[in-house]
Amino acid sequence: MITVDTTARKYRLISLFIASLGIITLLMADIEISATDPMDELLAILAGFISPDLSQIDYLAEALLTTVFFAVVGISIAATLGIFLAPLHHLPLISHFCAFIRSIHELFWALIFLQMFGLSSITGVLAIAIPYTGIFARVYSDILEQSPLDRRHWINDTSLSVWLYTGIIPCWAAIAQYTRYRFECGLRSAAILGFIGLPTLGYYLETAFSQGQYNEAAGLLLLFFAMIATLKWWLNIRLVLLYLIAAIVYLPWQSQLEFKYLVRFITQDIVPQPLLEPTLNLSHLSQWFGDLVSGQILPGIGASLLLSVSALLCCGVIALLTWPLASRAIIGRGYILGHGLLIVMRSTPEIILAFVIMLIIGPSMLPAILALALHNGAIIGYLLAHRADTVPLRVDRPNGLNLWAYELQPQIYPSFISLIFYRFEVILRESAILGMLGVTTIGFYIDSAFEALFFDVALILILVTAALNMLVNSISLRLRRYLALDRILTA
Amino acid sequence: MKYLLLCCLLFVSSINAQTFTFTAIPDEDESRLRSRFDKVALYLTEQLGVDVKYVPVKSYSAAISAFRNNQVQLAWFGGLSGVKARYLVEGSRAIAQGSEDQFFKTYFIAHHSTGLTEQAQLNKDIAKFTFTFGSKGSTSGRLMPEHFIRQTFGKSPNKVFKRVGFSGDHSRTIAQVQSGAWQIGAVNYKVWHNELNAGKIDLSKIKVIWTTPTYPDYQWTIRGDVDQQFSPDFSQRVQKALLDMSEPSLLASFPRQKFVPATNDDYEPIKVIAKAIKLL
Repeated sequence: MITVDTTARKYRLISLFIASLGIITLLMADIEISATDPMDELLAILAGFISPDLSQIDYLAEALLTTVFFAVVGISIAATLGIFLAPLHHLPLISHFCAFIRSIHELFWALIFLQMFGLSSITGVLAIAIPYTGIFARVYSDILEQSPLDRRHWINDTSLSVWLYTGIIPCWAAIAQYTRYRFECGLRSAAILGFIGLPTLGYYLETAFSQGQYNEAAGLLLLFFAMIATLKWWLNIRLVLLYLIAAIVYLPWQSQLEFKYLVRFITQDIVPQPLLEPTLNLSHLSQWFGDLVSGQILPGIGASLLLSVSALLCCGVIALLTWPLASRAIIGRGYILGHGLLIVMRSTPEIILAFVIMLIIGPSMLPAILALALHNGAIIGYLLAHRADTVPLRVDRPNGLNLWAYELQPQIYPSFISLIFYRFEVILRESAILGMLGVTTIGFYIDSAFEALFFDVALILILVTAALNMLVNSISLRLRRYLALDRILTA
Repeated sequence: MKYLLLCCLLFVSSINAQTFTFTAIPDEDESRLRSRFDKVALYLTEQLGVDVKYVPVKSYSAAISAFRNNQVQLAWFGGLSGVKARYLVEGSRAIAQGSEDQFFKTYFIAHHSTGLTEQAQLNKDIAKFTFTFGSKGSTSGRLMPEHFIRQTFGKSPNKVFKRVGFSGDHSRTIAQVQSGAWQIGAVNYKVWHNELNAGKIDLSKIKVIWTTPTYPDYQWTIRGDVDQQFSPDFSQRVQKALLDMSEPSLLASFPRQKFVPATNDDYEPIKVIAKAIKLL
């Protein structure tokens, strides 16, 4: 038998690899379904969506403005820094640094800054700006590499005009499109920051949901969906400048904490407690650290990986099933409905998805897997639909199912694989915040440490998650090189 | 010269306008928290003669951090969060508790499918089922139930039950046990009665199977340095204002019938248990 080493063969191999890994982890993961009787609660949620109500929420306008402004300022800072870091991203130091800052979830960044600046706008903006800088730097550098101009001419010339005229300007359309897409993610991040107390939409959403006030929860969610769906009408570069000025005037910027508390946080709170004892006791230190490794770090990493890999497989399946629904070429006018569905799926915070799924199938790792898969699957589905609709089609193309199966699906499969690799990083990062289901991911232990004010433990665990993310990132980078995926635009 | 004067005036007024701030752990009904507690702030402003403001927080740990960082000088804490806050802030004192807080208790609740019935002792059969606490930092939803579980079974909850979770708060514990997502849960008894009165509980689906022994819970804790910051007898005046609070609409925010004096020593049992479970 002759094996021909085609690109398609590589894609088959890698798909098989992801699928078998996913199936193995699904078999190992705790995915028991238990019988519940959720009808009352589900009916209450449904009733909420039938008669959504925003009148009971105090300070709604404030929450809306704060959400938008956090996103605008955070994303603007991140995009600006990202543009400047992008040409340097080929340096290992810079690319590791970027991987590090984006591997920490924005909620964890916020929890750290909360200890340093209190519930100030600085906390919200930095929590968005820092991880997104890492994301922008990487993706902009990917985009620049595909500049229609030969990259070798400018890679070693760091002067500003070379960078501007050979890099940024030819790629401007791609950069702008990506930044716009990321702004949507930034809005979502800003909303979620409310879960830990910043005055954004998530603040009220979390309250309404946990108190079972589903009319208000539905009202807030619908409002948020509407914001995302109408983004293209209220977000463009000129308006962003206006929003920026408004945000700087409107938001309260002063740190709420005295400087001495910031110093205490850095010099005492985050230092492992055994190191602060008057005399250094090595056996005490090693026992403290050993307990942490065996009790939290190792089980946490295990659960996080199981959860993320199984979620990745489900996410891929969902993306492949949903993208045709939002593709104009395949569905025709009905694509608007598909878009709506994907907006709902990707804009509902995973924690809420997981909560509703748990009501139906009981607590285990499965609600977390499904929540991550639905959310990320919808994002990939949306990006794929977008890509499919820009594929040039012949006049005598097939229609409907044939168009999907023989024309578009094969053409966008490389984008799909590329997106899956990138999303794995995101899923791993997000798996951390689903610890509340009793799924003991590493994020569960981070949350417990913050809740008990053990900041030293929290910091070590956060660094461990970052290291894990960076490891996964470098593995996925190698696989992408193997597939020559670097030449395919990532998003 | 005029500007200099203006600056001086602004400076002086900013000193005089020192605000006394307080917070409350987000434990009872969280909705409209701000409008409800703004009323309490208004009452305290009248009683104390200084500007009093309420700062909302989203979690137990945020309340403790705010207290520790002097963002708030007074806080309505749970048993565990209060012990923790006083441990972190030297000189801080418990000054008042609700009259109910001297004899607080936790209900263990079960879904009807478990077939469990109410008993005087903690039924060892509960080990067969799934179990949810409330918030990780809660006294009635976590610390005390965990303590009694350890006492009964001699091991930690995640070794006792089939599965252990943290629902996040008391209302969610009730909703999730009622829907059968979790089979057993531990819940603050006052929240249970509130929801029962509000018609949110269907007794054919969910019931109380055990009531814990009583323990001290919620209290007002004040920072030790307020007497220097405000006036020499400031903490006493705050205590008096709290104890004198009689308006039912104000007390309903907590919800307590009235406040009685409290001391740090009242919470010694909580401190001992928190240390044993390594939450302190």
